[in-house]
Amino acid sequence: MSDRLLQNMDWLVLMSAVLLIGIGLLNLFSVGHIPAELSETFEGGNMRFFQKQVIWGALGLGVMALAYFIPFRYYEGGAVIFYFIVLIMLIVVLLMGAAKGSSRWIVLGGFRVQPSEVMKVAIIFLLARFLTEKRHDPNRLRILFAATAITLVPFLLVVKQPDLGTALVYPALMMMILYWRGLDEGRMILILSPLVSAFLTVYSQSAMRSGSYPVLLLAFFVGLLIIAYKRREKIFQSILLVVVNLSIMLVIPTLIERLKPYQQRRILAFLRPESDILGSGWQVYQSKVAVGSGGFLGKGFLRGTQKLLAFLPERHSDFVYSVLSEEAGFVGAIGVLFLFSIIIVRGLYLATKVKSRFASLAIVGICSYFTFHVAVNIGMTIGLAPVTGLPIPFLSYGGSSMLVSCFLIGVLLNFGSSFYEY
Amino acid sequence: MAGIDVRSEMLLERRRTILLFILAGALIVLALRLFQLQVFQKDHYSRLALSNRIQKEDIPPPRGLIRSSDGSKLVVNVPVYQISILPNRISGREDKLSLACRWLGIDEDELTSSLAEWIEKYSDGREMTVVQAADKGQISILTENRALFPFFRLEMKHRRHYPEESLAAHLLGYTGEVSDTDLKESGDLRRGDIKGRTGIEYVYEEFLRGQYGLRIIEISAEGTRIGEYVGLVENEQLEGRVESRPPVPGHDVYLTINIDLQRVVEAACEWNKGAIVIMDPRNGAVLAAVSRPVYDPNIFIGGISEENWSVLNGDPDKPLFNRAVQATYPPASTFKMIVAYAALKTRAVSREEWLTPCYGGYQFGNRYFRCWKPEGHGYLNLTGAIVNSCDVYFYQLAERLKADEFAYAGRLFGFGRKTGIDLPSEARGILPDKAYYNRRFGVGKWTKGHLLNYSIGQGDLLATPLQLCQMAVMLANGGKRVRPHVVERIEDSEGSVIFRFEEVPEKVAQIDISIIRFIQRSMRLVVAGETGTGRGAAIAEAAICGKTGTAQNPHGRDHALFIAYAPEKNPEIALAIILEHAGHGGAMAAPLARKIFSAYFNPVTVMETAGEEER
Repeated sequence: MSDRLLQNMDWLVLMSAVLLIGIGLLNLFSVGHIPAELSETFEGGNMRFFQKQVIWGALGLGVMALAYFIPFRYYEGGAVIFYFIVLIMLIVVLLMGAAKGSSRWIVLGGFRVQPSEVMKVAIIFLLARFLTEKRHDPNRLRILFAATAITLVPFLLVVKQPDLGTALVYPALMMMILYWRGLDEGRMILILSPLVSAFLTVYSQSAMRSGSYPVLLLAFFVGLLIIAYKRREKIFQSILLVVVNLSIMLVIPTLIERLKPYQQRRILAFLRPESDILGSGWQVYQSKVAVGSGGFLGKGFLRGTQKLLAFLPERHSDFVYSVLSEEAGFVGAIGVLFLFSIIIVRGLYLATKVKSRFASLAIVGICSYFTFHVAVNIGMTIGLAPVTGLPIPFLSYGGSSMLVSCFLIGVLLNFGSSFYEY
Repeated sequence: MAGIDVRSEMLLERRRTILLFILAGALIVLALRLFQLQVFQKDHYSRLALSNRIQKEDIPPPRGLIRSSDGSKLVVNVPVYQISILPNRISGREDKLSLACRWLGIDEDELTSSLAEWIEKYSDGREMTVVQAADKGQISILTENRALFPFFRLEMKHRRHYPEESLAAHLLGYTGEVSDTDLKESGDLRRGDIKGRTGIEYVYEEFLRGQYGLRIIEISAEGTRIGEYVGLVENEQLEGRVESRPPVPGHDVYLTINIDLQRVVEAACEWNKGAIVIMDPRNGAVLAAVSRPVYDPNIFIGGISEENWSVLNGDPDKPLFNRAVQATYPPASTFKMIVAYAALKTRAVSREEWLTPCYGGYQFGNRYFRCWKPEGHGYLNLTGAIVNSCDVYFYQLAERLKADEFAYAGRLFGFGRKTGIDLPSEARGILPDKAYYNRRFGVGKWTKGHLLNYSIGQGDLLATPLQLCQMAVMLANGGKRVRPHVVERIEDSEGSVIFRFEEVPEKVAQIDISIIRFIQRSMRLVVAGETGTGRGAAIAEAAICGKTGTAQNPHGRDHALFIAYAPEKNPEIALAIILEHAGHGGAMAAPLARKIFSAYFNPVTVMETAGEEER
């Protein structure tokens, strides 16, 4: 058994993950490091995050190994019970939070665990398990609703925390898993296009001056019309697609106008941080300064300057990538992107290779997890995405994120190496 | 376990391809953005990065003090604690903000709305002043809860304080926070600085301001200072080599004001509207100046509130208006000396010529011009006419004089043009001449009747109290012109004099000194003579020469005027008093002059008078 495990090990993915953990640790070391010549002006370096992350990294490797050696059928078998355990944890967090102000953690055996992070794993497995059944065709409305319910319950609990950024990961994972399971592309479009319409409408509303968004919106609508025409044999779906999107484009502007100015500002600040220089815009601005000043080759390890200035309260977690980009430059920033791409692309190939439908679906969920986190986090640090507070796997400080990422890599490697199993 | 059939295997490969394309697209977008930031805009962000770290910080210079001639402090600096808000640290702490507002007694709605406007205007997150001068309670709340309210900043600033309160308020002027236009015009100013708005504060702004010092500091993006460089620093961000330097304090301005005399005058001037100017005829130094109504410039210390400002500014009595130099009045009978000069100079009349007697009025054409004394003055020569201020006598002189002859004499004594005093917004007054009347009424449309009014200092003729005092000065010093001034000297912070106002009276060549002597003797009799209108000003300690005036005006009771100088030989002090709507100059203004003179010539009574008035 261990023979097959080592023979079929995807070394490329393992190496990428281990490299990323190493880079993350070095980066956190640098975040906490203060150059000797500045030690007088800055109050003592803060190596706390680095030291703790070393422990988390080591534990992560252990968890990865564990995930690798657990026979993959156990995952399928345990998916339901695991989901409900985590769901109960989420409820407990929420209840405790109500008692003593907002909180995202639960203390288990001396460790602070973030159930909302673990929920990502639980959702992947439960959806994979649920959709493995041959008759559970996502194109049937009942199945679609069931999958949505699995996602929506934890989504609402996490939104209530409130942690919208993390909560948004769940539907993203769900959509990818459903797609992989064979959800009709027309329906995919039907589900996703209203979101795009809403985004583009809000942007067109708020950014009239820049002018390009109304054009994009128009182009998007024309695109929808073309799709609707091409799929005219499914006339009901086509009409629905056009009607839904059109009504969103018409309703949202009046809806926004009826909001109070501060509510409008909040929406705008979320979508376009640079418009909110007070809050998230300030972080994004500082982050862009850090990234941009890094240049092509970077300022060099431990030589970053922006990290020294308490410019980002989240420079060890959410904005850790900007410290890396400052010190390692364009080359380093792209390098990290490349390592993540290896994991994701290899994962997608494994997803087609494995014989088990459960494994295939879970692997796609894992790939989506990495893709979504990496894209949103990096997008945030370079001013392309809203500031959601999503960590970047392996690099951001935080035990829950580290363990979950390692665990998922372990699962990915496990499923990949036992591809022949049904 | 259900396997994956052929159909679904093809489906998966197709979908994998689509996903790979989407992934590639996302990666390309991220990579392009990184390339844009890190390669194309690298220089831009490098500059921004360094500007976060090493910054030049200006050290504001203390503003120079304003002192009286004996060095007493008239304007000083006091520390004021200003509360400002850092907009970019509020986010997520809105509840704390409302708590802070409640504790500090700030209207939260007003604050949030003005903050919203502020942010719209300045998106760089610059701080906004919330409270100009925090009280003790606010200061202690903020210092005790610094961690709770990180968005508030308590900053000490120097503001002007006037220890003598309203004393000489109009001379000293006041300061205000610089406006955006000020900042654009002058590179020396920084946001939040104060700048002289009126008075000495305004005129001597350049001397009082001082020069900013420079500190090179290391600062965090949160605005926390983490270190300071001393000496020469070479840094790309600082655009070369920059050296730290201490600020140069503003210069102290010493006024010519005699603080004891000023106190006496302030106390003596009980009338609610008017002005008094006192000068030294030997050098043009203004010894005291008062304008009524007055205000306490200390209300400007914490940035004047809207209400206070509109009350002050909208007051029909215009308390902010420095009547001593900005207001113009008809000089009335005080102008008769000028008319006498013009008449003697043009030989329209001789010194001992007796004119038609005064029976209380004068018939001119179809109009009847009254003398101020209804029962009349009878036979008079020029001296008698000045002493009794007989209007009828001067009407007769007017018949013999041309408009330009009035204007010529008036011009010699400084009417109709600015004296050039070092105070802002000085009025010019009006000294009519033929061209003026032609302009105003049309050629041939004005008559001798206008000149009759002119001869008693009425009509269109207007002068500032300062111009009247200047006339008194010139009559006192024998027709020598001297530029009035309020500043005596300016000293830098080490005490060396960098500027001294040294004015030497200059003889005006055209002025006939013998006529001046004649007028001086008449002015002495105004105060000393049995029938003199200015008897109320007489004191035992010194021989006073003066002239009363009672200006008719269409707005109400007459203005009371008095100009005088003393002593008769070698005069040391000249004054002009104008009390709006007070009545007769002899009855109302002359006794006031008496108080001033007796205080000046008898320093012991200075204390007594001042003491009395305070009670």
